[in-house]
Amino acid sequence: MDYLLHISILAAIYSLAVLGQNYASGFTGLVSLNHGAFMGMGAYGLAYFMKTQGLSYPVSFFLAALITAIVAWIVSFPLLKLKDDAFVLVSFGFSFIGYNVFLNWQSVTNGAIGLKGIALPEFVKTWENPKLGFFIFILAVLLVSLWSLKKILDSSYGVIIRATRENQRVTQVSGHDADGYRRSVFVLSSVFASFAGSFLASHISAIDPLLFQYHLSVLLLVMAILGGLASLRGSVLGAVLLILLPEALRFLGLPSSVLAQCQQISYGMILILLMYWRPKGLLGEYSI
Amino acid sequence: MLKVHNINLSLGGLKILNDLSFEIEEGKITGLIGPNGAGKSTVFNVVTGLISFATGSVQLRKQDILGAPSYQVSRMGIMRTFQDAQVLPQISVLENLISASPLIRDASLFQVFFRPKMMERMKAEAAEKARELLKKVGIEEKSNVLAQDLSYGQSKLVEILKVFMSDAELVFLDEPFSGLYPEMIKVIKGLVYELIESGRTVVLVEHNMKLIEEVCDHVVVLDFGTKLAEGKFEEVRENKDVVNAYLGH
Repeated sequence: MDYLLHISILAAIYSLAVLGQNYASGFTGLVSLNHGAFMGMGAYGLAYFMKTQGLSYPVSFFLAALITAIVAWIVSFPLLKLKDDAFVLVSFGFSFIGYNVFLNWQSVTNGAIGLKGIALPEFVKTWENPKLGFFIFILAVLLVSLWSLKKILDSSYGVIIRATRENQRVTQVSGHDADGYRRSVFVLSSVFASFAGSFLASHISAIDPLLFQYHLSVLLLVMAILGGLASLRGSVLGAVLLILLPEALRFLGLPSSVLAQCQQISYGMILILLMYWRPKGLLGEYSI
Repeated sequence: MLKVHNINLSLGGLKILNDLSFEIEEGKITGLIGPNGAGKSTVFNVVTGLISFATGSVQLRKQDILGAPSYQVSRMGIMRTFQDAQVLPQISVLENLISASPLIRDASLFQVFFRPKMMERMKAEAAEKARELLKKVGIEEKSNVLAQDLSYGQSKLVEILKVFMSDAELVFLDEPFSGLYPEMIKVIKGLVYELIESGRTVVLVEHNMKLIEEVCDHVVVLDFGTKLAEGKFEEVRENKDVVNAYLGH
């Protein structure tokens, strides 16, 4: 039961992060490879404010998201000047910067050792099984996020951000500030990643920089592409499938050192096969 | 209506526009003609804000617009199409048209959550107008099709319909007839006249001199970024420089 709950919580957390990733990459064409760093900011932010500053869970959670949003807003200025491949590469560069900040900002992140003892929210501790309460809470946040994104995407705002994905020049000459819209999407998508990072920190209670290395950014993008770019349901599907995959690989009985390599190889293989045979992913409506 | 004065533009040391000046008269169709590389599309890019580093002055109703971002130029009342029919490929034809409507300008996240009714009403109005336009040109069945699945001619048509969706007073059409079959040329020609009837002013780039002669009230001839001549088509076609540089004998 605990194992199943653990997997379900991870699937819900990653679904939330992939929603953010897909909102930027699939719906708006901002194929970002630094959302892993935004997750790290949510995780470290929550841990820092709760443990070092003694703030409550909700306050720490939202402060972490606010700081992530501010950083995303700042990062968006150089990033949005770039297009296509250059955008992807530079966003990848930012994920390296994020990792190095987590590794070297000792006073906040405790360096390579990381932070431990990150608690669950107070209100789930009263449950007989706090993890179950935590899962239901994350699920509720996930559902609200899905509803909010659906509302955004069905609106005129959604039409404009999809238009910017297709052609910024054409969107501009129709009277829309394409960069302004793209910036707002990038910032909001970072908030989803921050939420997911905060939840992850509470769930596993200990974090270190390795968790938020560039692999995580690649994983989020692969999840989004597998489930389907520009698809909300696809975001959840991609996250669930790639959380379940390593668990399925365990049943092959491989040594743990080989298992980790197999996971990385399988992510790469999935990406290659998708790009050849199904560039829209399983439920996607947009191909890169 | 539009006054282009002493525009200069260099790219990589190459002079693209050279002291170019001309005026666009309100309610008329002005043709911008000249050989390939003369700078016609560049003029469009400069006026519509897609190139921001030209020097000189561009005034729309005496308001300086040179260097303004293209979305602001659009809001001032200038709309354009592109030489190679640029539709938004992976969204529906209907959404292509809605994206050009001033009714959805400034759509914000605040409106999404706190003024959803007003936002829905605006989008519905824009969608209704878009459907009417598609019906008028006989492609209403394409409204939910992705724009990438349209034929070349239909893409050109959608681009011009976007102009009708907008509130632009001055419209720049970049080779609207190129590569089209005669029937489609007729439809687009009808739409160009309709733009004028609806009170708009049109500037068009075109290489088909028969069409230029037929639709344009005034013609400006460019060569190597410089104005060679301007006036009525019958006048400029007699101009020796124009004949030598472009029209031939």
